[in-house]
Amino acid sequence: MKGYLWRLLIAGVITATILGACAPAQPGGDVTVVTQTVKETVLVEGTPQIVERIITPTPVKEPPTVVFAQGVDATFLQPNIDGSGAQVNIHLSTHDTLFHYNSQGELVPRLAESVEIPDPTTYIFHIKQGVKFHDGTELTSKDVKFTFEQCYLHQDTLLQLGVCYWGPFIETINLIDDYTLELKLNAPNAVLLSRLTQLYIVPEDAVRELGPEGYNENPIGTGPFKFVEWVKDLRLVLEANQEYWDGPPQIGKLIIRPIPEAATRLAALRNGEVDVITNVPPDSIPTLEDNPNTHVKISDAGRLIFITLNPSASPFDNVLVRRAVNHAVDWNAIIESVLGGLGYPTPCPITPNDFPYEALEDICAEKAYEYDPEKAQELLAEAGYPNGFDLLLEGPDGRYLKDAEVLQAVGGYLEQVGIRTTVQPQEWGIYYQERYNGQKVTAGLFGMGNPLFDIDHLMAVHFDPDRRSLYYSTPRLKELIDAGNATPYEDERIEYYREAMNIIMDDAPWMFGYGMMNIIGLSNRVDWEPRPGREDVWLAEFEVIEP
Amino acid sequence: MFAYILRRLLYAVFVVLGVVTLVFFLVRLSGEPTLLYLPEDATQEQIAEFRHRMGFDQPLHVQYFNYMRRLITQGDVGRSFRYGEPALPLVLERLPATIQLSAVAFAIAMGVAIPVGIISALRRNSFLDAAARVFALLGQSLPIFWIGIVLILIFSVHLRLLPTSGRGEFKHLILPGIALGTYSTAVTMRVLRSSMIEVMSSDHVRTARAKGLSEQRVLIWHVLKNASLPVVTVIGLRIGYLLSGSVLTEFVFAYPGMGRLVIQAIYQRDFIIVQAFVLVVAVIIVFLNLIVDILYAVIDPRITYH
Repeated sequence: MKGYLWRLLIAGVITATILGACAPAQPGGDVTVVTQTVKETVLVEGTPQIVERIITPTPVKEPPTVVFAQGVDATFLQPNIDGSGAQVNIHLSTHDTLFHYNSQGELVPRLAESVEIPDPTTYIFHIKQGVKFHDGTELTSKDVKFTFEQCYLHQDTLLQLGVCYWGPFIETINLIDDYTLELKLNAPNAVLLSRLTQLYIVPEDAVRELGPEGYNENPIGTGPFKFVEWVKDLRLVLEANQEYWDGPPQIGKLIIRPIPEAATRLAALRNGEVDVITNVPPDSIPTLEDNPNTHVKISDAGRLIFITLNPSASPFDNVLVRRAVNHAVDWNAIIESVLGGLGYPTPCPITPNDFPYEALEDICAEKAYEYDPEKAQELLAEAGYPNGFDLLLEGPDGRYLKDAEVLQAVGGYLEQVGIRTTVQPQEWGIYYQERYNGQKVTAGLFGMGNPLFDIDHLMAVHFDPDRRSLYYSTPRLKELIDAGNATPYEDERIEYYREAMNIIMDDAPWMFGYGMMNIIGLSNRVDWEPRPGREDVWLAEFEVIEP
Repeated sequence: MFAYILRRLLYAVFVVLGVVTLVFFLVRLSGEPTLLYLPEDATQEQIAEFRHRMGFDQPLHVQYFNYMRRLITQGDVGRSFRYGEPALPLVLERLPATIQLSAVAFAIAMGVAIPVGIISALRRNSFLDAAARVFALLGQSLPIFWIGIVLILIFSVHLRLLPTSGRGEFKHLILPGIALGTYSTAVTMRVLRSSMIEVMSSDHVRTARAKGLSEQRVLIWHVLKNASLPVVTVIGLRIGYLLSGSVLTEFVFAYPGMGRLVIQAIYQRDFIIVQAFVLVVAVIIVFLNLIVDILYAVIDPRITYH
């Protein structure tokens, strides 16, 4: 009996624990060794003779592969539908835009070589010549027109959703010649060129031929990488475009893997399965820095974190109360202790990456709300709340780095000035809908990136009564927002935004918080610098360091 | 028997439709997802246009009737909000991966639970039995999420024996299979053990031994056969749970199955995909329950259905 049972147990254990034989393969360059036979003419005792020689030329090293892991998979491979971070990382690899912001934050031409603006509603784009799509066809102005039409004029039913909900402000698009395009707007728009940094140019012929589903499975663009394979939720494989107009990428192959759980992403970086990961939790930074094979790059994410106050309801209908809570919180301390120093205070609703930050710095310095709990209590008393009041402080949980913890910290500071605060972090979907269905949130934490690097985006989203995000605006502010948007001339815009910033700082519709940092983990074999002020990862800029 | 099966299949249809109805209203309790799908600076007109296109501007019961009508007459489960494509193919194309993972988890679970359960029962209160029961308790108490991450840390990061995530070779199935199968292993082992202990003290087993039958024969033909009924119940239940419970495992191990799709759909309020997923899982579970019931009749001739 004993022997029988033991055999049973062993059989069961063996069945249950079959171990794989191999460790995960290291991505890297493969070395191919090739021998060649060459014929040479040599002089043998004065007579030319042909001899054969076998040589082993220097081994040809194939360009290396980089594996990049982010939290979600693409929903679409065709661009101009979904503008979320993970999608943008992919579109930046396979497609190009007319303009983009370089590492210094300057707007520079890409597929558009230059632009003329003869009057505020007319833009003439000169398209770069000799740029090839991945299928070999040349980029011409008709492709740009087609891309615009798909996006802006809703002429196509190809798109279910669009990043192109920017209003039909384009009146006509005229093709002047193969490389020149004229755009006429129905009203001036200050941020048109910035918006174009998010519009990826697609090839008209290929899109029409393949149809929307076909093109989504074969996303031909002009970008630094060509599409090879997409296994959903598993991997997206791209290879370098050797004919890329801006020079091919240093790496040969790019594999993008969606790994939703942060701990798993981290493990994959640590054991060499992947080379680059996004959204590293700050607690894991020491692990990666101490590991001899990995390091971390921290950069400005260009995203503001703040707390909106609802001025339609008591007690925040009183400006003194709004100013009071701004004095109540020590954001520097929160950045140090809760975020481990990963953040920077933003006393005004603008980051250093956005236009016109420098022109507003003096206003910001003058009107910034200093941490002053006594002043906060004075203001509260003056407003009629000497004994404070009850407050429900809401926010998301897990949407932004340490958002729930920051919310708790803010709640703590408010308690210290007599405001009896209930802190309520919630699941993002629920919280988001509560914010915008009837504007029910009295005080709520929120985050805002700025892909246009222009204060107009923030104004339109948060202070424009025509949009749905509204908690606060004033008639004068709305005039200034419209005026700032309606002129492309920078000095005029600066004047409008200076007045607008004065109004906003005086009215204190927010608790002005801090700017977030972006944390990327990298294997030491990859050399890469992040672009400040953005969360997108320019995958074409990865370089593999030869050992 | 055939009449019984036919009747059960008919009930199954109603059960599935009932589940779909319940889920339809449950997911919509979390509110309308319009705002999650439009950019922050969308105008009121654009919002209205989107709501109309999606049918959100109609009363809930009207939406429900339209949905059920399309489902029953055309088998059309609807289009995913996020992908814009029909939801059923999106879910079904990931079903093989989930089935594969569940099968491996099931195999691991049975491979461990059955021998260990038997030995535990035969060697009651020995050290082996005690250790097995402690592991079973841990297996039922520890969350899959935690088990998964710990497995990754040990076997992928420190030992570098297995990959952290993904799919493609058998080695990708081992860690998620162990994580997913842990709870089933624990439950099956405990039920088998207690069921065997109960049967072993019964009269007919004592009679069999008294007749002089070998211990092996007694074990297989008399003890196990009778003890297996509750175990088959548990196994039947567990298979269903394995399929839908793989949601968390697939998330931790970045495994491209149905569960991964549905977690994203839940966060993104993509109701149609959630409903399609529940429909598929409900059909599978109902079908499996029917098989389990038939197995009962096979194992125990005393059980008949009319």
